[in-house]
Amino acid sequence: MFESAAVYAASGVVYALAFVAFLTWSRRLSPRVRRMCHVLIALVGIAAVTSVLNAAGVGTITYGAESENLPDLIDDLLAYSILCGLAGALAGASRRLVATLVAVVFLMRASFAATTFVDGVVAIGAVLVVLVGYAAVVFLFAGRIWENAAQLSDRQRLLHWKARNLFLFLFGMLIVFGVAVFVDLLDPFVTAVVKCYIDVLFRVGFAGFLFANASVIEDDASGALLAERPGGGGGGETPPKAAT
Amino acid sequence: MRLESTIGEKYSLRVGTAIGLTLVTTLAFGVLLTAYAAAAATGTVPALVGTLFVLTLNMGLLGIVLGGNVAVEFRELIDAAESIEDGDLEATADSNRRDEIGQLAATLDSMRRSLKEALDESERAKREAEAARSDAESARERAEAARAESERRNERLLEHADEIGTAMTTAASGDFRRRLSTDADIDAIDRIAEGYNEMTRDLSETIDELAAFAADVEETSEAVANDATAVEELNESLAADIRALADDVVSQADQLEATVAETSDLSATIEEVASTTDEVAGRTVEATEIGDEGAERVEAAVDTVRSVEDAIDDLATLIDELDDRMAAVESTTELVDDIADQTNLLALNANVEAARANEAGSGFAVVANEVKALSEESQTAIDDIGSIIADARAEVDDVTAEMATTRERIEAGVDTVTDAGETIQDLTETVDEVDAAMEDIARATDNGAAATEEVASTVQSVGEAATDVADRSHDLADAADETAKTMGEVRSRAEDLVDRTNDLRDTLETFETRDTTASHEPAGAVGVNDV
Repeated sequence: MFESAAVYAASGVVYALAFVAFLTWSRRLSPRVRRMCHVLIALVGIAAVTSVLNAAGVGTITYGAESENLPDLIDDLLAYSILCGLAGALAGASRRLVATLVAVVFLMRASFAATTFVDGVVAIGAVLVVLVGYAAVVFLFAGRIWENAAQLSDRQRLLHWKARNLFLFLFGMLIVFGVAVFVDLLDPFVTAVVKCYIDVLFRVGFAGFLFANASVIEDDASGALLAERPGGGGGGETPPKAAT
Repeated sequence: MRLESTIGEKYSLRVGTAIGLTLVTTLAFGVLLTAYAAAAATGTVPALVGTLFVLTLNMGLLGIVLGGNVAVEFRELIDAAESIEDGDLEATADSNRRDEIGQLAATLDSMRRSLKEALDESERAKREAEAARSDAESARERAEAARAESERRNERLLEHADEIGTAMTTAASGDFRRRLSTDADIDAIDRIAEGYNEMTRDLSETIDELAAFAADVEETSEAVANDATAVEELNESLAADIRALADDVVSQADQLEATVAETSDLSATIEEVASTTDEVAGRTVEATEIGDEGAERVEAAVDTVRSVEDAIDDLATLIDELDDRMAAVESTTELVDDIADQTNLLALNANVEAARANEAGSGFAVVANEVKALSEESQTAIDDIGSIIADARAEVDDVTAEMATTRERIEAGVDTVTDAGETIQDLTETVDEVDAAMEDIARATDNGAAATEEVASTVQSVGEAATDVADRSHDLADAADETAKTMGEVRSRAEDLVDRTNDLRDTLETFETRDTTASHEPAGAVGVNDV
């Protein structure tokens, strides 16, 4: 009964249901935001497929005593990177800044995957990459990206503010979770449960959050949600004015 | 329901949904991992860590959602407050929250509206003040022009005012004969002049009327004073008479009270007599009954005496017969005495014969001695009997004589008793007559007592009525005194009115009035009409 495969299968079902729901929901949205929503729906769909593959044991790479599911790794690399990029894009960050965010997150997830198969200094270096990368992401979000967000409307700045905090919190919890797995505090079943829950929150929760605030994205006066905006200087962070 | 309503009052639907979802999710994972820990031997620590992880995750997400909203709400409130501070009273911080933040937003918005209203009010007041200032400026200019015109008119006014002042001074001294011209071309002056002329004419008429009225008042007041004096004296006399009458009535009331007391005593005495009469009548009845009984007893006594008389007659007869018998016994005794003498002789003879017979005759001699003794005893007894009979006959004689005396007395007693019976009968008849008379007296005294009581009651009523009349007479006398006093005051006031009317007439005589019989008088004309 308490098998990891069952957990993955259940998460696959959740993803599938969410995929159908988001797909239906996206038809009621305006075309201006539908493209972004389709990206989110695609991430949910990919997660559903990879969950099923993971449940079936397909694509699992074993190295010594450790193993890594390759479809799941690919799903994570895509999802975390794209979602982080989206959070930056909601602030109207430049393409380069968004690309930087995507690259850093991609590197973090890859380094974390590497810690499964390496030991010693390399493993420590990989962990440091994760931690430093997280700090860099936080720095970017709180610095230049937030300065860009100051030029947005209050509601959009709030949307970015919430999306950024959600991403940073979930990613931080993911790092903590990885450390917990690394020190063997969790067994495979609990690991699968928590990992699937975090992934569902990342994908379905994030997608639901953006779907629910589609009207805010649509209200962008410039009409260029993901367009590059001129960067601003540094400065302290203050909460946005308008609530969503 | 209470918890649900409390949550509903405190949180919005979105916040409530987020909290509920977090709670349900955490519980679901908790149940799952607890079941896993129970099933797996080494799954306790991982399940506990997993549960804590999920809990932390959910709390963090909830904090991000709610905390972000709270921070945003506060930021909005701060921005709105800063905007209001900068003078932007259109800045609002609307919130659909039902908690303290929502209340704070509502309060801030209410404060903003109040400030806006106050500012609007201030702006409106400022505009009104500016408009008033502008009006004041134009008014000042008009006032300057008016002042110049006013100065010109003022000079003319002064001239006319001087004229009017002179007229007024003249009028103030009591001279109403002056008239003012009404062609000054100044409407106010003309109206004042017309008013003055009209006033002096009216005052002249009024003073004339007042003088006539004062004369009437003086005359009337004097008449009133005289009448009041007469009424006062009359009331004083009336009060004295009424008071004397009241005293007489009081005296009569006292006498009536005494009469009532005496009548009451008389009534009591009559009632006492009636009571005594009733008692005497009762005693008379008793006497009548006793008389009847006495008569009956007299008759019985007569009958008894007569029966005693008859018995005495019978006794006399018997005594006669006894006397006869005693005589017969005496004769018989004499016979027995003879027989005893013969027996004694016979015994003597027998002794003699026995002595001759010696011894053969000794027995016989004993019998002869016995017979002799018996004969001697019989002789003795007969002597005694004779003596007794003699005594008895003597006593019978005495009895017979006594009986004769007794019969005489009885006859006398019968006569006496008969006389007594007749006397008692007469007495009884007399008592009956007295009884009838007593009944008549009792009825008469009862009637007399009732009549006396009625008289006493009537006299008492008359006495009370007299007392009331006396009291009312006193009141009437007091009222008459009061009336006299009032009339005295009326007289005093009428006299005072006469004095004042005299003063008024003296005052009015100081005025010199205009002759108002002429309909049109020329300006400045003086018509003397001394009062």
